[in-house]
Amino acid sequence: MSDPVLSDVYCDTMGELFNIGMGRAAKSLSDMVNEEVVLSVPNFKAVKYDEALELFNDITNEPVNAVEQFFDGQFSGNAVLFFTNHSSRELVQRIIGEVPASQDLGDMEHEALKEVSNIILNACFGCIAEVLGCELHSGVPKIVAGDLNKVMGTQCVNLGPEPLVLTLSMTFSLPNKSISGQVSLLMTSESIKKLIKELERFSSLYAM
Amino acid sequence: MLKSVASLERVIFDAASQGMIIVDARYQIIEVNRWFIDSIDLCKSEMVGKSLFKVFTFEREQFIKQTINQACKSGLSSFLSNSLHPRLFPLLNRYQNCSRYMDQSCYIKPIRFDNQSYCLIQVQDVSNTVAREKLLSKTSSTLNLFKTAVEHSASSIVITDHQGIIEYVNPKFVEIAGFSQEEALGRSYFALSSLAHEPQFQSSVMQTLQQKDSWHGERSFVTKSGVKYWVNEFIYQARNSNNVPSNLIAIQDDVTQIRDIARKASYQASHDSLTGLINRKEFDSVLIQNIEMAEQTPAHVLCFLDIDQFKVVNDTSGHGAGDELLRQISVVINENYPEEKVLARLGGDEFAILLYHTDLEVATQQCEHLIYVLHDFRFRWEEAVFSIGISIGITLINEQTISSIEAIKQAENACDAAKDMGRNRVYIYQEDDSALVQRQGDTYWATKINEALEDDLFVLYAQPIVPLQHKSKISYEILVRIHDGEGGVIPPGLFLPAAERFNLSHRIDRWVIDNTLKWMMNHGEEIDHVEHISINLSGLTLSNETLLNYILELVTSSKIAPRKISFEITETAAIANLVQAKHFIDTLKKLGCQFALDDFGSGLSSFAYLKNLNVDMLKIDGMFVKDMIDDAIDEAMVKSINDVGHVMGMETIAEFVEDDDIKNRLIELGVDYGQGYGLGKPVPIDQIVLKSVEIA
Repeated sequence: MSDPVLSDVYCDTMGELFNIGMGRAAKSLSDMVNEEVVLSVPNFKAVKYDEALELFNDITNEPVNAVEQFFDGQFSGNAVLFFTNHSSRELVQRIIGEVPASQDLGDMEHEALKEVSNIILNACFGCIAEVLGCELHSGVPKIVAGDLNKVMGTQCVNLGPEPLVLTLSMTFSLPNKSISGQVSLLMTSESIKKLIKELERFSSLYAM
Repeated sequence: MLKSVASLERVIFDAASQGMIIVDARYQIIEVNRWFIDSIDLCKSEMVGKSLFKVFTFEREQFIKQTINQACKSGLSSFLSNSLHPRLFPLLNRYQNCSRYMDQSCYIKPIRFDNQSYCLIQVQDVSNTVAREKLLSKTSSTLNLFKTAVEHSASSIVITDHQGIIEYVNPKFVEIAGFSQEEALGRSYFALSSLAHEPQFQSSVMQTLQQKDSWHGERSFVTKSGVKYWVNEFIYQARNSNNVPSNLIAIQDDVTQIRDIARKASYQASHDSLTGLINRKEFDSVLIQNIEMAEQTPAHVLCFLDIDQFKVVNDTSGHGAGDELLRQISVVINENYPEEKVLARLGGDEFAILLYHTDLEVATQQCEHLIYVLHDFRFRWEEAVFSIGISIGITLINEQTISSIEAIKQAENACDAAKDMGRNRVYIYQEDDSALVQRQGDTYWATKINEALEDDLFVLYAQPIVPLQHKSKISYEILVRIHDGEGGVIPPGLFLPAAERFNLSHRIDRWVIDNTLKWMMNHGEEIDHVEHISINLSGLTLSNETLLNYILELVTSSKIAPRKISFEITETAAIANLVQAKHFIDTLKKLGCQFALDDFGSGLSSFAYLKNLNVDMLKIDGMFVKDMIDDAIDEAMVKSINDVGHVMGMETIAEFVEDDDIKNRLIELGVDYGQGYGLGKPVPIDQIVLKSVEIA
């Protein structure tokens, strides 16, 4: 096993940041769907791209619906939030209250999924930027659907030979229903180094 | 304030085919593009310079503010979907009538210009997409519904391409035909059921479909495992949007069970359940068909058969025995005639046969052969053994045959004539046959007997019963005849069967008893040489209490010695009415009269019944006697009846003693009396007072 991408301490910090972001996203979503939405982040991992793929393949073999958003600032990369077909349909169903008749989501359902994912990802970006006190911009969200490996493959085209992935499984807890999604930040090793620098700076601020 | 954009960018900004609004961090509208202005009921001056939230009202104002803040302050892009923010801006829908406002989705992007943060709100018209998806969703719901209907249909449904290659089969088809989806898909529907595959069938279906887009019919299908079943099938031709045939839809209902029921019902309607032969109705329609075609084909012969001893079997051994006899007889009849025939049970003990392509001569031979075969046939039921006779009437079916009813009537009349002539024979119907013409139906004899009773046309004859073993007195059996009005007499064989059928026999019996006793009174001393006078009683008389009392009174009041009077009852009549017969016999025997059991051995060969009947004499059936010289079995019958009779203390009388050989053999066997043409013919009763009666 190679050296860990992030030390345990930084993993905890990142996990905490994502947790705060999820809390904000959950509030926005609750307001939007008029029912209580709880978003939780069971675990956070920082791994190499190949390990991430293995991890994802363990989660599902189904085709997925993914929303991607690039981000840049002090560090940059692609953020991806994906749901299995089944989960995305259930999520959309809960949010827009309509049952999509066909197996695949239509354009309008994709758009709803895009907006929900955008809220979550922006909340994460916002939190990281705010807490770490760095600048982080994001591009517009795009939907990519299909085979998981293919979907993820398109994300790392510009991320150098050995992209790294910060990833976390998240769960939407709606009344009577839990829907899982996977949030990932794909970054070049350069960007990770910058992130680590930011984390170091952040820790030193609060170091006793 | 944002500076006026440079001219090219400005042109592009206004040329974009989506809406663009630029707001600053304080939500003030800085710019709107041409597309946005063109799509809204506001002019530019009503928007620019004003707060976004003053110009427009949003359902989720706080959320929009937050989104703008994220863009302006944090540089984050956002997306607002139409589903969650329907018709965010009151943009007019210029292309569709379905709603006034445009469906739209918005991107909110951060812009930095001149060191200032702004936010670009980009609005896209998604009305068409929304409309299309609504339609799609509706169509797909409907399709889903149809799919559910097809998948749960109780009918098998198969969809093929236009050439019959299977593209879909529903679960019912899989269940019934036994082919899985995978096995069926891609194969030819018309060849799937390999046994039922007929290339002509496919082309005939296709031909029909060319004319009217649907085919309907019933055909057999074979499951994967080779089990044949019947389907009621519709095949429809579906056409694509260019009106070109694109698919075939086959809908099948398994009708095997219904067909079986229908077949069974039609079998039951046309067949006799007892013998499995066709019934009268079905035979009638067969006959009608053949009569219609009689001109083109060689003649056929219709036979009408009546079993002679059926009633006896039925009455003495019960219906179970009667049914079994009918079953056995039907087999014997069927085996006796060639294949080219139709055999039916018309009802009761009546059968009919239509012999194809034959003539009367051949048919007569075949019928006589049946009678010959039945002569040796013995029907056994528990302890009883019955010998069976059959009377057959035949008639020709040719172009002169008028109708089936007429043909059956002819054969039936001929059969009656065969019965009248003593049963167990064949009688051929002929159009100018006087015997049949005279009969003119069943009522002829009834009328004739009534006339004879009223006009006193009956006459008494007597036939001697001659002692064979010792020189004792001769007895006489009284026989009845009818004057035919032309100097002749009609023998009893012609009218007595009719009398039985029309319940007239007891009236004849009464007439005979009356006139015999009267005659005996009148010739008291002149008949001293006579042992006794024997009077026949029919089966009906035995159960007639009134007649019994009448006889009692008559015998008592006359001066005739009762021992001079003897009664003969047939074995079959006695057994059929056993209780009444016993009562009748016992009553008259007490008075001193004697009894003889007539025709013994003809119907039943069970001696067990003899114990119950207290008779004095047994008359051995002439059937056994007449052939006893040549037939060892007949002789054995005569001997055994004689022996049993003697053991039981009865005297024996042999009928049909036609010659000296028989007479001598009977003497050897120890039979007590003989009667028959060889010993003395019947003569008018008055002749017996004279000693001149010729005894052979």
